[in-house]
Amino acid sequence: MTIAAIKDTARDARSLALSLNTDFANVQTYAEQGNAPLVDALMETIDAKMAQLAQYQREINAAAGRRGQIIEHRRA
Amino acid sequence: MHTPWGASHGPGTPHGEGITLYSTSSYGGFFVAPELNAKVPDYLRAATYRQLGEQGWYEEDQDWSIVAIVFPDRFSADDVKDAHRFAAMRFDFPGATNALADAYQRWVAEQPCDHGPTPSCPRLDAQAAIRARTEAPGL
Repeated sequence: MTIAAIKDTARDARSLALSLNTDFANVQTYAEQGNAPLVDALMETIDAKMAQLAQYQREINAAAGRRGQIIEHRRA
Repeated sequence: MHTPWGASHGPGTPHGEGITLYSTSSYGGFFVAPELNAKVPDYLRAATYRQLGEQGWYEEDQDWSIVAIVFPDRFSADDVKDAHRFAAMRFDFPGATNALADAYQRWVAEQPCDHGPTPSCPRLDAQAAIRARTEAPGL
């Protein structure tokens, strides 16, 4: 993964994290309205987004680690 | 002007007739007049922060992207491109299988690609960029 790809992944992760903020706010609203079906539906979306967010985190961590090894190799 | 985030600073910044960006001491967002807001798909209005889109309010951090993709002629080509990328991540994220993602995919598929002076299609550009990265082989 290149630095450019890391940048894109981080941007997408930020977008996804930001959207989770709205999703949780809407879960709160639906709960206040007593709308259990919408709470359930939105929680499924949140589950999938959290899983995707964790995947982005793993990708960035792995890419950053690999680049760090390359830099160390060049220094040696 | 009274906004969901308090009193606005001044008259706001118009984006053509019926769409105005308001700033307050704490936050801000767009107000879309009722006749225009009726053109925003129901499920996108309902997906806004605290469903403020139902009253025509779209906050500035992310709900603004809904305004930009529904009314692309009111924004710059770069803003529309950013809005599509943002909306793709929000509603059509990798692995999405929910009803909102399905509805969003159907709606954007019906939209024309000619969103301004550039010949590119912001929607397809955003989806292609995300697909290229998520389908790239390994590290």
